[in-house]
Amino acid sequence: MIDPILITVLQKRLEGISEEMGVVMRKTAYSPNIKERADYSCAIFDSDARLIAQAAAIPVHLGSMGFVAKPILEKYKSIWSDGDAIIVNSPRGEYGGTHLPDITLVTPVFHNIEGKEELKFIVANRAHHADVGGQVPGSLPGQSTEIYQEGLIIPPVRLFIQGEENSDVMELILENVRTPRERRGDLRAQYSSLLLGSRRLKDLLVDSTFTNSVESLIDALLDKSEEATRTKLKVIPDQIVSFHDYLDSDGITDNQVKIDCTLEVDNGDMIFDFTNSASQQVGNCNAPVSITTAGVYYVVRLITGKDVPTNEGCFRSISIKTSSNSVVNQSYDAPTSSANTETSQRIVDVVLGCVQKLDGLNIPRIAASQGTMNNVIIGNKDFTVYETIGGGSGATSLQNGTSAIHTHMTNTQNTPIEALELAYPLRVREYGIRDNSGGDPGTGFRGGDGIVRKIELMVDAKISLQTERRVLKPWGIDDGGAGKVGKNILYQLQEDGSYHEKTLPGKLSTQANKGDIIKIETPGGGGS
Amino acid sequence: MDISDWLVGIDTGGTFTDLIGIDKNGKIIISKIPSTPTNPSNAVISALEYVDGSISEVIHGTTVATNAVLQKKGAKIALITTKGFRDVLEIGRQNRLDIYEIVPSRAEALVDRKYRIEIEERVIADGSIETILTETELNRITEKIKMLISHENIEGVAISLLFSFLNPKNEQSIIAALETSLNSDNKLFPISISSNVMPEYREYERTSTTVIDVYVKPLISTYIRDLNKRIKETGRIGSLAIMKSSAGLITPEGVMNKPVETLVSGLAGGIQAAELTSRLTNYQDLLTLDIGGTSTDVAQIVAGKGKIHHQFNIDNYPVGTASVDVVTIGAGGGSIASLSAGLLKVGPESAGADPGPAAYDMGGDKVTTTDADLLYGVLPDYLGDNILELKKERSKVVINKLASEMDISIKETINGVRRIFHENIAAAPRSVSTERGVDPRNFALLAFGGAGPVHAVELAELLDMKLIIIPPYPGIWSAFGLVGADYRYDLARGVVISITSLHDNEAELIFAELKERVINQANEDGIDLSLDYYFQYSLNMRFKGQSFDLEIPYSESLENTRADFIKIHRKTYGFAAEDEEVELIAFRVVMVIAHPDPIFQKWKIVEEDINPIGTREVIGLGGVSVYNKSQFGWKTKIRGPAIIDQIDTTTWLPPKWELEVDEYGFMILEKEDLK
Repeated sequence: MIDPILITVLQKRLEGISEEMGVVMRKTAYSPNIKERADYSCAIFDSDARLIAQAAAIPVHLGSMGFVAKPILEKYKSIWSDGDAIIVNSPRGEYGGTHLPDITLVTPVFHNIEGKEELKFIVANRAHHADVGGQVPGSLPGQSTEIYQEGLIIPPVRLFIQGEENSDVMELILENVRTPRERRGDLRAQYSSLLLGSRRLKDLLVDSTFTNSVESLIDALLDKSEEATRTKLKVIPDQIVSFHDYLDSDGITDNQVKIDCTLEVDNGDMIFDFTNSASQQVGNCNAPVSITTAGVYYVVRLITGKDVPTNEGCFRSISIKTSSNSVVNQSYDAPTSSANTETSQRIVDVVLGCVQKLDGLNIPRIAASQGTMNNVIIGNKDFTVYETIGGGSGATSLQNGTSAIHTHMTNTQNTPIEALELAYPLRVREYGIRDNSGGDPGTGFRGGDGIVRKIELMVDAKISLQTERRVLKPWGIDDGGAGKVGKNILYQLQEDGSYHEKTLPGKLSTQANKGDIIKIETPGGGGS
Repeated sequence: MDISDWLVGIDTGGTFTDLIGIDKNGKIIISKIPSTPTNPSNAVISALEYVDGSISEVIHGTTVATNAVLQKKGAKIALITTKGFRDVLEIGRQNRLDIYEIVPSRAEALVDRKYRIEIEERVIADGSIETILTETELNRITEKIKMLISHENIEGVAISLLFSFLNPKNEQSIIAALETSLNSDNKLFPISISSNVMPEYREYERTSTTVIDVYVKPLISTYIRDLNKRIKETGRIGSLAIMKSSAGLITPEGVMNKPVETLVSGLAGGIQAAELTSRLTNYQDLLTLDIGGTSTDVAQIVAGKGKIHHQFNIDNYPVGTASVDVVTIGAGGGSIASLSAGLLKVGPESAGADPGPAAYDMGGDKVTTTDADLLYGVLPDYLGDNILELKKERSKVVINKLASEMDISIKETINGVRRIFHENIAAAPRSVSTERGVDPRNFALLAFGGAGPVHAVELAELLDMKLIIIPPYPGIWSAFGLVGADYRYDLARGVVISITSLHDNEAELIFAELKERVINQANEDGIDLSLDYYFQYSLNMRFKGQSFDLEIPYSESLENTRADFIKIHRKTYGFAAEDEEVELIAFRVVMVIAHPDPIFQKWKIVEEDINPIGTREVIGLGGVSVYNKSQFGWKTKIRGPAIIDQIDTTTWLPPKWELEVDEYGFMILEKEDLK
C-alpha cells in the first residue's frame, strides 16, 4: 500500500526542485529575455522520460517540453553519463521543439547503486534566446520560407560532457549567433540550473523519508493526477463538437489558413482531431505538433484547474490527431518561426471555441482574446530588441475582459520604457490602452482593450513583425461584438519633417530609417 | 518614578496588539490584547495601561499603511504623468497573476483612469529635456487639479514623469506650481513626486511607489497625529517612534513626510527581533521562522544582520523603498487541511482567529494545523492564561471526517497534516537560500510566533539544521524587536552610467550631497542629532546589459568598489567577466542614529533537576513530561521527549533532542547525537 501522505511529500519536493531550478536560471542568466521577461521553463522527468514535475511556466512550454526527454533518452541512453548536458532546439522530429530561439538543455541524473550507475531522473530546461542567427536579428523573421532562414538548427548534441563544456559545440554555436557573449552566459546559466536540479534529486534518492520507494511513489503520483483529471472531465457527457478559425495569413500569401478541431468526448477521454486543418504553408506559420499539443494541454488545464499537479498523468485521457505536413504538424524543412507565438494562440482560440460548445462543461465561456503575441523585433548589427505586446482578453459570460494584458499561451513581462531607452537607440512615444478596441457587450460584457505602443528609431534599423488578428477580428460569444483588429503602422520621416503613414502587414521584415516611428495597436478581446 | 522609566514596544497585528516593556533595571512586562481594527490606537492606548510609571519612549509597529493598501481603503487621488504614458500604472508589466485563469487578472490600479492626467513634457535617457514644460501647460494642469479637487473630491496628487530620476526639474516645477496655486502645505493636501519618493529607474515601479505614498498618506497621517496626541495626553510618556519597513525607526513627523516607508512596518519588527537575538546569544547566522495563525515569515540573518532590499511587492503592487527581505507564506496554526485532486493539502486557506480551528469550538468545521497538533498530543487544554479552551472532541470530529475521505487511519491523518504543514514551510527557506546562494544547514534556526516552537524541531530535521533557538517570549518576540531598533534613513540617487565615466571625486560629491539631504531630513523630522550617528555608502552595480544589479558597499574608490563587485558577483552567481563594462545604477546613503539596546536581566541559575508538572499522551510516544518555562533558569537542561508550556506558546522537544537555557532565557535546542 502506497502512503498517500508520502505521495504529497514527494510531489512537493519535486515541484520545489523544479522551481529552484528556475531561480538559478533567472539569477545566473545574462539576457533580459530570461531575467526580466522570465521566458523559460524547467521540468523533471523520471527514468522512463515521463514528465513528473514542471514549475509554473510559459504555457507554450508546458505541453511541448514533455516530449523532449524521450527521444534524447533513446538516442543517448547507452552513452551518456552524469554531468552531460544535451542541447537541442530543433522543431523537427520528436524533440518537442517549438521554434529555434527556444533552446533546451537536458541532463541525466545517475545514482550509484551497489557500484553501478543507474539512471534515475532526467532534468531539462528551456529558455528563449534573444538571437540564434538566421536572416534577421532576433531570429524571428516575418517572412521566412525555409527553416534554414530562421537560425541555427541544433540537433541533440552534447554541450557539456561529464561536467566540462564541450567547446567544439559551444564555439560552433557562438560563431553562428549575433550576440555570442550573451548566448554563452545564458547557456551556462541553463547548465547551472540543471546541475542544481541534479544535485537536489540525488539528495532526494537517499532521503530516508522515501525509504527506496521513490519509483513506486512516482507511479502513484502520476496516477493521482490522471484520476483527478478524469474525475473533472467525467462530468461532461459523451458528445462530438467542432470549431474552426483562421490565421490571417502565412506572411507570404494573403490566403487565410484554416485551423479546425473536432472534439470527441468518450467516457472522460477527450480526442482532439485537427485533421481538417489546412496543409502546410509556404510561410512560417507551420506548427510542430508539440505546439498543437501545448495549445490543447493549456485548455485542458483551464478546465481541470490548478489543483492537479502537472505531470504526465494529467494528459493520459487526452489524445490528439493531426495530419502530417499540415499547419498543425509541420514537416522536416518547413519554416516554423511564428507558430510558437501566433499559430499557438489561434490553436487555443479553436480549442476553446470547441470545448465551450460542450454540454456539461463547468467553466464560464469566453470570447476570443487578442489571439496574438504581437512580436516586434528591432535591430541592426549593434543591437537587437525583442518585445511581445499584450492586448485585450475576451469577455466571459460572467465578466468583462481585461485590458492590455498577455493572454493564453504567453505571460512574459514588458521591458520598462526607461530600461529600453537607456540601453537602445529607441524612444517610446506612447504606451497606453487602446480605447474602445474591445468588443461591445451584447447582453453580456465588454471585451478587454488592446494596447497602443509607439516607438521612434534613433538609428536605421530592421523591423520584424510577427503579428496576427490584423485581418480577422477576435470573435465575441452570444450577441457580443468582435474585438477590433490590430494595426501595424510605420510613420516614415520625410525630408520636410512630415511623416508618410504606411500600414504594414501582420508579418514582415522591413528596413526602417532614423526618425521613423513604428506604431503597434494590438487587438481587443471579443465581447459577450 | 525614574527607576521604572520604561522603554515600550507595541506591535499591532491583525488579531492581537502585543506590548513589551523593559525598565532601566531590565525588568520586563508583557501583554497581549485584542486589536481594535477600526481605530488601532484604542488598543495601543489600552495596552499602555498595563505599564505602571513613566515611559521614556514608545516604539510602535503599525499596519495602518499595509491595511490601507490590502483593503483598498486609501485616498481618492490623481496622477500626473508624461504625455502618452498615463496607463503605465494600469498596464504594469503586462503579465497576469495566474497563468491558468479564464479571465486574466492583475493588481487593480489605485488611481482611476479618469484621474490620470498627462502633461506635455519629456526628459530623455541622458537626463536632458527634450520637450520643455511650458507655463501654459503648467497652468492648464493646476486648473485641472483644482477642478478635480472641487468637483471630484480628489484628496491627493502623485506626480511621476519619465526619467525624472535623472532630472527632477519638471516634477519639481509641477509640485511648486500646485503648492502655490492650492496655497496649502503638503501635509494637509498630499502631493508626492517620484524623484523624491523613489529616484530610480523603471517607470512602473517608481509610479506605483509614488502613488502608494499619496494613497496611504491621509489615513496614516490622521492615525499618527491622533495617536501622538493621545500619548502626549497621558502625561507620562516621553516620545513616540514608528518602525519603518527598513527596520529603522522614524519620528511621527517623518512618517507623515513619506508614509510609503512604513508599508511593511509589521514585518520589520521580526527582523529586529532576530538581530537582537543574534546580539544576545552570539549566534551570527540565523534562519528565522515566525509561525503565526495564518502565515509564516521566513528570513535570514547573516553576520547578525537582516538583508535590506529595495524592491518588494504588497498585494502585487511593486514598492521600491528600503525594506526587510522577508518571504511570507500561507502556513500557520489556522491553515486548513483538505483533500484536493486526491492529495492532502494544508493551507494557504486559513481559518484565522474567527472561526479558528475546530478545537476553538467557535464554528470552525475544518481541520487545521492546530487541531492536528492538539490530537498529536503536544498542546495544552487551554491557550494563554486559561483564556481559551481547546476541545479535543471537536478536533476529533473533523479529523475523523478527513481520515475517512482519505481512507487512512486517524493517526496517519494527524501525522499527515503535520507532515505536509512542515513540508510547506520547509520549501520556503530552501528556495530563499538558493536565491541568496547560502547554505542554511550551518545556520541556527530561530523559531518564534505562537506556533513556531511547536514545530521547530521537526522543521529543523527536515531542513537538516542542527541548532534551534527559542526566544524567551516567542509569542510576542516581534514586539521585542521594536526596542532593539535604531533610527534610520535611506536615500538613493538613480543614475545608470558607466563606472568609467565618473571620477572618484564626482562620486564622492554625489554621496556628500545625499548625506547633506539626509541630515536635513532628519532635522526636519525632529530627530535628536546629539545622539551618535553614522553613515553607510553603497553603489548598485551591474555588468552592462544585465538587468539585475548588486548593492556593493563603497570602498574608498570606484576602482576598489568595482573590484569588490566582481568578487561578490562571482560568489553570488558563480561567474564574473573581469574585463567587461560595469554600470552604476544607484548611489545609496544610509544614516543610522544609534539607539542603545536596553539592558536585559540575566536569569537566575537553575541547574538542579526539575520535576515535570504533568504528562501528555503524544502519538507514538505515550506519556511525555510537561514542564512550565517558569520553572527554568539559566543552565537548566532538559532531554526530549518533553513539552514546555508558557503563556504564549508551547515548545515541543521530541526524543533525541536536548535543550539548555542560556543567561537571557533563550532555549538552545540541539540534537543529542550531534553534540
